Amino acid sequence: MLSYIAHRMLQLIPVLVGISVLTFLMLHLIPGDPVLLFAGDKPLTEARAAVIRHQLGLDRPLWVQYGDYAGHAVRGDLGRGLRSQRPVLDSILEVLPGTAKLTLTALALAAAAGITLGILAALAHGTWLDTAVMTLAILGISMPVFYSSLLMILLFSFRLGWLPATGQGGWERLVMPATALALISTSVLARLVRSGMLGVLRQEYIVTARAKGLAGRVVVLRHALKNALIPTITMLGLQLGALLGGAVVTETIFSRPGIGRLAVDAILARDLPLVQGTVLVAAVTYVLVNLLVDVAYAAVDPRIRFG
Amino acid sequence: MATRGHEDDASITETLGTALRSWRLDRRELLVLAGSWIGAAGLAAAGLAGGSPRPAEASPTPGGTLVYGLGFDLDDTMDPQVTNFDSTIRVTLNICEPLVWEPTPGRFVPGLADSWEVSPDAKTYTFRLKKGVKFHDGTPFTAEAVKFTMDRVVEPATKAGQSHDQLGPYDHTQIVDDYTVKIVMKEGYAPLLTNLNGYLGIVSPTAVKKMGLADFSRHPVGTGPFIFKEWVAKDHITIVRNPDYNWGSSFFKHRGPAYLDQVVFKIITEGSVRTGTLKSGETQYIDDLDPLEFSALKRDPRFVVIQQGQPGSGFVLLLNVTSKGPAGDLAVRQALEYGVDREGLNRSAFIGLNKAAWSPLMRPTFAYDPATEKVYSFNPARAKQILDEAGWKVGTGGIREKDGRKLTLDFPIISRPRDRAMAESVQASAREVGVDINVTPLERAAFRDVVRQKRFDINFMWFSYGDPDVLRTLFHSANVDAFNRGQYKVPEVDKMLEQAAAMTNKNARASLYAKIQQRVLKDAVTVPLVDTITYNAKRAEVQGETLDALASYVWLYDVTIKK
Repeated sequence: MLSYIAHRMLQLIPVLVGISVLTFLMLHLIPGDPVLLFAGDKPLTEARAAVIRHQLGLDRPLWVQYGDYAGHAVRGDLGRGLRSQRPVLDSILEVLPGTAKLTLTALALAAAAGITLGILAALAHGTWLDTAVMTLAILGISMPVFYSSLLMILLFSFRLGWLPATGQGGWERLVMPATALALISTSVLARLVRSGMLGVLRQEYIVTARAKGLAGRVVVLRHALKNALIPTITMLGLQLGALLGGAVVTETIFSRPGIGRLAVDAILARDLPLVQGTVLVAAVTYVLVNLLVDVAYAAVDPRIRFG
Repeated sequence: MATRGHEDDASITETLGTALRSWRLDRRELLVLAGSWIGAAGLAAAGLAGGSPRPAEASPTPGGTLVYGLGFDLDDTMDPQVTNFDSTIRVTLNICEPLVWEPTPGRFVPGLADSWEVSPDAKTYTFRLKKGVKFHDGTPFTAEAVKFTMDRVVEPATKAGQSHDQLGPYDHTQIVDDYTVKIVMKEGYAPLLTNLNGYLGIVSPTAVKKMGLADFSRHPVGTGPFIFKEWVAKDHITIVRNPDYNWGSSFFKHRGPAYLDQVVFKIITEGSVRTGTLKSGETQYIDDLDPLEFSALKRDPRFVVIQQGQPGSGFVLLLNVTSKGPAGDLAVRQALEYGVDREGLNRSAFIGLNKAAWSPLMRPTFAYDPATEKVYSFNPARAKQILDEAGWKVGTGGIREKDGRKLTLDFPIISRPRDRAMAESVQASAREVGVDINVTPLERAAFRDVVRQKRFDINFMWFSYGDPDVLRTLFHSANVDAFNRGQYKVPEVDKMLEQAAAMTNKNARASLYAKIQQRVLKDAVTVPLVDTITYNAKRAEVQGETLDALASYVWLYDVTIKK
């Protein structure tokens, strides 16, 4: 197992190299000059732009720029944001905890609610409860995050005055954005767990388990759910990616700092070092989450072993 | 369960009851199960959420906290000489004070300077500075600080932003004595006074040297009534009262420390949310109010809406006179002057709250020429006549043609809702007189590229500014790569613009600018549309704030929050 994990971690290297090259190329292929974008609505004159471009080293050939970046990056220096001149790593680390909190809370809520609802729907299969849960799930999946966010703000902040609408810090500022983010994942997980459970509950080993006289709870949790969990674990991993993406919208609506907003603002400003930094962080997260998911398989399904 | 098919239409209680009962939970197991679920959910939310600092909330003590909802984020730096965003100055003006304040266009009152003189050729500005003023780091404010602030703008290492353009043809600063300083320009530059009012706020030389540029940009130090406390990027900036402050300008209602304990600038870019926070009390002052919310808030006695026109150049179209296409034809441009329905645009893009504009200068600007209101009028018939006489005959689809060429104009815009609404209105009026305008919404970076390559016939422009010298920015041949999007190069106009910038005699300046306004309209390089008006809003208990001459910065020194 350990060698498997080590092997997977080594795979991180080609992934990071590939992604950084792709990002670098993409940002240079699309129209837009970061220096001209410095000044908001009032751009700089060409002469001043040329001076600034030279100061930032943006007038060097592309391969020189990339080589310089990569050389520093392997030593842990991700460069400085073009506009702020702050180390990219500092800017990212400043906002990462906020997004992590939001995303992990949303994931936990989605997992708890989604799996519970899925089990309930499966156990109550064919009744109105099943239909109700599935309808709610469809509503949850169809509502865009910004819509549900705005609705929640309207109701809980402005109409009822229960929760603050903006900012971060304290659970009362976390509950709405996390719930808004979690809605879609909850719905997806509920449907997945339900169909997984239904499939599994039909299996013959369930009949055997009951015939053996095992308690219903044991049957459901240990035998049925465990088998339904494999696709669910994959989905949880994928949902983390979706949540990181959805966090951009949520962060904007709720005026929370976060890596999503940082990345989007950096792209719009063509702030290459900052974009590279956020993309690399996202890539590392994905690879690690994937690894976690695969390791979790082994824990859940004894048939799966890594040679 | 396996024996019970889903074809059986069982009641919910039966089904669920059977399922749950078959678990055969006893009370203890039930409690454990319930407890673990609640615990898990609780951990997920509370455990992860705890430990972050909360932004300050309004306190009941006298003074209190003002929460200001900023509609635009800062641009990664709080150094007034480096930033490019007005929103940053909105915050830093409370920390780094200017030499003079400008409460209404053209009227200047003492700031860090008690009095001043401008030489008639607008080249030398002499300031007599206030005595007994200290920076937040304890160092004294003297002429040295003024020299340091101006010098750093032109020093390449600073990478100055808007301040660089605003300082103009700066030559050097001469320290006459500790409290007298002369700012000397390379050539006459009348707009300097109005430009001192924001991006040229005075900073502490000691602090800049000690902290270095990167740290100073995250912790500005000035002489203002408020001291910088903290900046959580993309979230909020907190400034607190400066207890040692007692050099308030004679313009303000008091001299000593500010009334407010602190101000929290919250960054809330989403317009509807920002207005909502004002209504719920989460903020007490917001800027960039959506015109749609205007009437509702105006009627509500709990709120006050602040509406103020800006000086400078309002929303105008700049027409590329060097275009190889139809825009190069004077007749086509004049037809647009008569054909564009400004009131219609006002209604569709600003729900009627704005004002039609007939000059590239807005009314609050010094040297605005009212005679420009008679040069053109909304007259589609006249527009059609001009085009007919110039040989542009109506062809297929109602679009005019001449020598086999269609009358099509390219109009790239940044893909924002207001830009789109205005562009579509212009497009519609143009269609009525047979002109086809091709509106292309682009993302900002792509738009800049198109503009840089001069691939357009029409471009939007608006440039709020405290001095009619903004006309030089828009129409002087030296600026064809910057804001002179119309590519206008007329030597007589260049000369008039240069002369007017280099003199202080108001009457002489006014007469030159009147000629310039008339000329650019006659040449139809610009089609003025509507003014730019600032809409802010506040809760009624907030009193004493001043919106400056540029209708951009809010001075919070006199602010109190009534209980």
